Amino acid sequence: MHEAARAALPRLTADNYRISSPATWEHNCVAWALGVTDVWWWPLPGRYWPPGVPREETIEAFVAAFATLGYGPVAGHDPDPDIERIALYAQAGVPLHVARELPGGWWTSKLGPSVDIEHATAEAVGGGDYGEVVVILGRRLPG
Amino acid sequence: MTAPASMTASPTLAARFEALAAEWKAAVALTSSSSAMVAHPAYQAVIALGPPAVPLLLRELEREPAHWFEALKAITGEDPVPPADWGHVRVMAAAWLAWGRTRRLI
Repeated sequence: MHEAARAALPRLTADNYRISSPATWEHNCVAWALGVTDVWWWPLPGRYWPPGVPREETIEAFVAAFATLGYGPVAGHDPDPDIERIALYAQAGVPLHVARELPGGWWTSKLGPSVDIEHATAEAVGGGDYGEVVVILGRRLPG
Repeated sequence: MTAPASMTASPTLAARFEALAAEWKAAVALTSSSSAMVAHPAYQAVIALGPPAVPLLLRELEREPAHWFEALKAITGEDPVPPADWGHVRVMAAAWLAWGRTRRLI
């Protein structure tokens, strides 16, 4: 697993990530970032996608999907304990991955049907198969 | 009722299916994009195996809920999964397995 992950995501190093759960085909990175563990989100017909949001593999459609759960633009890049942030990754305008910031500043990513990992920065899973972070969104955590 | 001859897999086809399934799973191991999964050449090659691959797909789905749903739809022309269950992988797998059991394919 480590070998495959580092080959596909070349910024991962022995020091900047750790595996945090077993593999499962039941949810993907999008669901995991949104706190869902029993559904696979993707705009392809046959997978879950929020009603009313275009089933398109575009950054705009993904941002609209996240907005249905209260995520919107956030100011600044520093962690805010009151804001839960997610990062959308894309390559050539095509969304490929989503990660969620954890309390404390690390991030968590589900790697397709494989394991999920915790990584030191959002950028740590960029630069490879997932492209780069193109949007960071946030929602205020319940007080 | 027994499975129709058109949906019976030979040992050669079974070996070919297993090789393609392993290739596909390795290739998409880090992929969240269902579109990319379905478009992968190994997945398309499984679809090209046609009706004899259906029992193999169902047995594979029974073992692990990898996303063989589009392959099953493409080969059989059927879809027992209602839109309300889209994305609920365990439920989708159960629907296809029930479909296969009804037809004595597994």
